Amino acid sequence: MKTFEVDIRSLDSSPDVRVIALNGYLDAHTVADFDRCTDELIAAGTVKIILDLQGLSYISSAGIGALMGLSQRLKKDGGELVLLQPTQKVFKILDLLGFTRIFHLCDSEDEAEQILRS
Amino acid sequence: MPILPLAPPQFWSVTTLLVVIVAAWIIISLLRARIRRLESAIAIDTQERESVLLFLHRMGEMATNQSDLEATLEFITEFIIDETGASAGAIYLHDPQSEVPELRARVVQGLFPPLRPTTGYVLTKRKYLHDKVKAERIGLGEGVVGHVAKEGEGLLILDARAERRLPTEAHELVPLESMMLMPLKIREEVIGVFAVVNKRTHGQVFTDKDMSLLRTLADQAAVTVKTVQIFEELTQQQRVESELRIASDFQRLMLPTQMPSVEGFEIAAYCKPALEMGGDYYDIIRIDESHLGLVIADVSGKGVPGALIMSMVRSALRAEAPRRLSPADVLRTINQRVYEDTRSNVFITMTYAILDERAQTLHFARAGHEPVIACPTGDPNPVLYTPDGIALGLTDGEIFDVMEELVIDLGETDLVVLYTDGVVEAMDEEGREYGQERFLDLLHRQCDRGPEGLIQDLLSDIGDFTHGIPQHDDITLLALRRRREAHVIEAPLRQGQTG
Repeated sequence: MKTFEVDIRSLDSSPDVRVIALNGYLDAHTVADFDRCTDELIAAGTVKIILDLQGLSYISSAGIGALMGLSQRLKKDGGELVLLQPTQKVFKILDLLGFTRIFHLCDSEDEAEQILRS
Repeated sequence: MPILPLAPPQFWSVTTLLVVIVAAWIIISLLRARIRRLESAIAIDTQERESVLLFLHRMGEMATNQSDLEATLEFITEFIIDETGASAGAIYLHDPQSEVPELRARVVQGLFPPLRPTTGYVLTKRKYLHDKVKAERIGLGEGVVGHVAKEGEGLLILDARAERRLPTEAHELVPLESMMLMPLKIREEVIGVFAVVNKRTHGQVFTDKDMSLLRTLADQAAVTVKTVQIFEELTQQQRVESELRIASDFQRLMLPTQMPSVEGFEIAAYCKPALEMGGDYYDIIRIDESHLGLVIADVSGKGVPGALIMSMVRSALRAEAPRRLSPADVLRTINQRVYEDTRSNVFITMTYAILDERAQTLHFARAGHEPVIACPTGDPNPVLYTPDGIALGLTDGEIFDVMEELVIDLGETDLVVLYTDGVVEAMDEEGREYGQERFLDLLHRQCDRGPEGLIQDLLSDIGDFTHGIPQHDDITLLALRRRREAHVIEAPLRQGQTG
């Protein structure tokens, strides 16, 4: 069975930045879980998010749509979404769609933090 | 003295010059008239295109607002009356309750007359008039509405007073001048009739241009009405369960029914919608006598909203394709439309290619879609083309507009294949993917197979891999090659290669 897990924490050096680590499969079935979790964060006032994609093994078009929706919501509130270390497979999908030209992609948490601070 | 071809200047300047001036004046006037005609044709053409795109835009808004049938019909009627410059209009639909085929007006706007002979006294007050029109049951073949529903062809009535199929009472209630009727058709099925009467500007009558606009709008309206109709019937039933099935029915309706025959080329296509996710679409559009548009796309939104978006994209593409011979330009225009009309989490990947039959080339641009694969003649390795380009609906402006266009010389290519991700992501029972490698490997071995043969081989290879378990995503393929001499692909040779 394909699983999907979300782990949320704050960045020690910038407590207003939330890091969401995604694990498993983000597809049409699991996208509701992802949306629920990000809805709660946004409702609580979060506008800066780092999505840690190291553990994400697959993303479907529904998942990509959810990332796009999240990014636009954060931008509307003056915030930003940064993607951290996607696996090669996920990177290939993002790149094919042209997402690498729209999203910030980072290799390290420090780099992501820099972008969110600027 | 030798005869000179021209008389000396001082001799012909007076007489001939006059003739030349008159001739030049005539030619210039003729050219001017021609330019004026062309300009007005272009202006009307642009106006029609703008109307259609505005209509799609509004329909997109309505689709996201989950409108009901009544609201949709009201909107369509108002829009069509406005755009055609009519003073009144009505939309007739087949009555699902009636046992024999009958049409009833569902929405009436403006001073619209009853179209059946009436015996009773009808008040001319608009509300009573509308009630009267709505109460009429019109049989198939009866009067002008029944005639259009039966024949499935539009009808332009330039002089309504001379039209025998209109009852005399109609003229007493509403002074009728001209009238247009158009079937609401999905493929060959007539679901209703749209009728407009009298130009708003007194003394004017409807023209062929108005008919053309009405036809285009009615085509789009038919798809929308049918979608909303089916969706509404389900509200009491298990909507969610059936939604995906309807969407996939619609998807099938939007696919071409047959491949156009193109001299000198072989083209084959295949689409297998999956119940769970479906959002694939392909189309083949004749642009002009030597250009053919080929499109393959995948809409991320599934279900009925996805189907409506697909229908919007299809209409926008069919409106734009004949106007531009640059695939990247077409995709840029479509993106502008899609970006404005869709919610932020819906996007479409698409590859649009233009086959130039004379030059034997394939120009293409890619909006976030899977690569285009080509098998070059004499080279065993298929080539993947992934020109720069972002999926439709994600962003607009400059970032999107950076879109690369590539060209393949079909004279030196054995086969070109367009496909959707459902092909490479087909899964076996353990969740392993069919994958690009196996796909390319098959192409490598089978590049001599024609488009149709290759698609068959590929499907059977995917079947072997997945052991026939149902797939979660659509599988769509479009393949083409330059037609070869029959002897090149003899059956024994083909068998030798596969075996």
